[in-house]
Amino acid sequence: MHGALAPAARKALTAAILALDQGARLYPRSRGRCFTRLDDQVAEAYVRALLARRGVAAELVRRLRGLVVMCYYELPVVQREIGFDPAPYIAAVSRRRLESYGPQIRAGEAAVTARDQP
Amino acid sequence: MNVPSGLAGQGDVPADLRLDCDAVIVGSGAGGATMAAELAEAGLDVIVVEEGGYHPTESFTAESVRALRTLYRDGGGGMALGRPSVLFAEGRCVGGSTVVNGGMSWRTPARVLERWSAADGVQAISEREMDPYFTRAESRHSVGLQDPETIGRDSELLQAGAAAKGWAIVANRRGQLHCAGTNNCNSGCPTGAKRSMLVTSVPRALALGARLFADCRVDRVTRAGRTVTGVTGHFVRPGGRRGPGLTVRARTVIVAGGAIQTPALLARSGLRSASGQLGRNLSLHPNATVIAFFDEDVTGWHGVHQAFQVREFMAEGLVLTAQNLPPPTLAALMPAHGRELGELMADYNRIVTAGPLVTDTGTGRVRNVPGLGTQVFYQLTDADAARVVRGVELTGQALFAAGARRMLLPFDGAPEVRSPGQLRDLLARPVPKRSIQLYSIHLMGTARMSEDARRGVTDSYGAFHGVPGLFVADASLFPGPTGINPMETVIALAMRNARQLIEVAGRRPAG
Repeated sequence: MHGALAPAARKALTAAILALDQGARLYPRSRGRCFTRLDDQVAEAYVRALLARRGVAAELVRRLRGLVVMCYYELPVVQREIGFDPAPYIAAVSRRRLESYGPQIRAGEAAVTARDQP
Repeated sequence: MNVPSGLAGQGDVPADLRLDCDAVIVGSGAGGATMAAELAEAGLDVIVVEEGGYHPTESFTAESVRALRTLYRDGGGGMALGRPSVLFAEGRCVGGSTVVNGGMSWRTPARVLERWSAADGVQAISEREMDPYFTRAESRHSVGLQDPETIGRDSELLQAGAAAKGWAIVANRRGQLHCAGTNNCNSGCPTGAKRSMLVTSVPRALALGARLFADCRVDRVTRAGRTVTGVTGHFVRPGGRRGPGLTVRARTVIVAGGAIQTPALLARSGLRSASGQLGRNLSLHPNATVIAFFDEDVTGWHGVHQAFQVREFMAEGLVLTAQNLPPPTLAALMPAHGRELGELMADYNRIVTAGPLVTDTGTGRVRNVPGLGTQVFYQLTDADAARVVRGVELTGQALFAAGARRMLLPFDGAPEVRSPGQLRDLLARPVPKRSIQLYSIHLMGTARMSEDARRGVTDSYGAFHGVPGLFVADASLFPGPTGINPMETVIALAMRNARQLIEVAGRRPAG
């Protein structure tokens, strides 16, 4: 997903990841540790403190958070846990569509490349 | 993958290409693909150049992050900078944004056409004059109402809420051939029922002899003196590597890259409009999302999204709709993280997401910034901010009337609200403009039409003032916002302007 972003956004997010990780060393409860070495409670408090601020740093953290949660909630196992499993549903309604309207659908698709009547 | 005849991607082009044709079209979305089909049907030799890839119907799944990577520009993460900034999404694939939009198809409201005619100096744009093009666009794209079995519970709840309030609500019109209701519009329709350009005007144009080059970015529109001579560009290899070059020579160049990319391409080609309006006048119909929790099972991903539109407040510039969001997108919107986010998302199947689409009065600007590329700037006006807040309150009222227990509002730091009274009290206080979370999928107005070259960028038919042979064919042409889904307006204008172009070309001496 990171690779799909605009070049400027990619650079900004890379910088944000580094800043988030190393900036944690300055957070009083971190005892000089970077973000990836913090325990869960301190890490959460650190993120909350950043998000409570205004300005560019908070905005970058917000965007980074958005990207991370998007990727997390794209995981099939996570989606199943919250009751989202669209593939069987899509297959079922697609089948229903063809069974209910097959001739009309075929006629409509054939009309796509037919020349207009003058 | 079964690739239609006449379509080539980067993998089919080993070396630089130089081609000649009558008309080269940049972009294969609603405007570009329609133009291609119309001009090819008139017998012109047409080449379409599309920056995105070819992704057929069979490739579409419910993996939304994959869709963001493959079908959208910049992963759907465009940003119009301002206070607040507005997130926007543009399609980038064969078929353009029509592949990832909801397929809603509405005629331009008569009052909007009247304003474009009277205030903006656009000719031949009355409701009566546009009627044949709307009719043809609707026929070509099977525009109609949903089959009842495809309407989801989230839409029914918004409908019930609006009905309880006594508000006008209409069934949505959509370009669809018996839509299955997969709720996958924004990741590509997996049945092909949605009549996007991918399954209508693109194959039509190809069948009529047009050629289409996908994965090819147009760098410049070329000119000899004032007259356009074609385009130059390059194919994009996997990973973004630069591939072979493409040079197309044509007497007619039609730019249809959408309201952000069209002015950006024209500006980096050294083109300026005498009016100074190229890249200005950006409207974007700001949207905001209310997240409402119900006790009942909603399963909003069962059934088509936006089956209805609340039209009660159209005179105020507000249309309200319900649109289910897939988990990744919804999670990114939620004002929580960690365990708290997990608890909110655990209720995913009891959530309705809905909100207002706002007819904006403010405008933004598209600029090429050295070192940063194309950048978009937009400032929400105080009046529009007030409209967003009112739209959020009305949406909340409807959802509470439908039985919502609590809701999250699109304002940074806003508390969860649990009753209509709490909602009213909260929004009676000033909402800081910069706290509003906005997004847009309707980008319009950056090469606006006007017969007056001091006011517009193009004439009434999309011909760029002062640059013979150059045309614009997308929502950039709109003098102002439509207040409603803009796709049918783009298609109808492209049909109308193609006819004008063919008639003018027929009168021009060959050479």
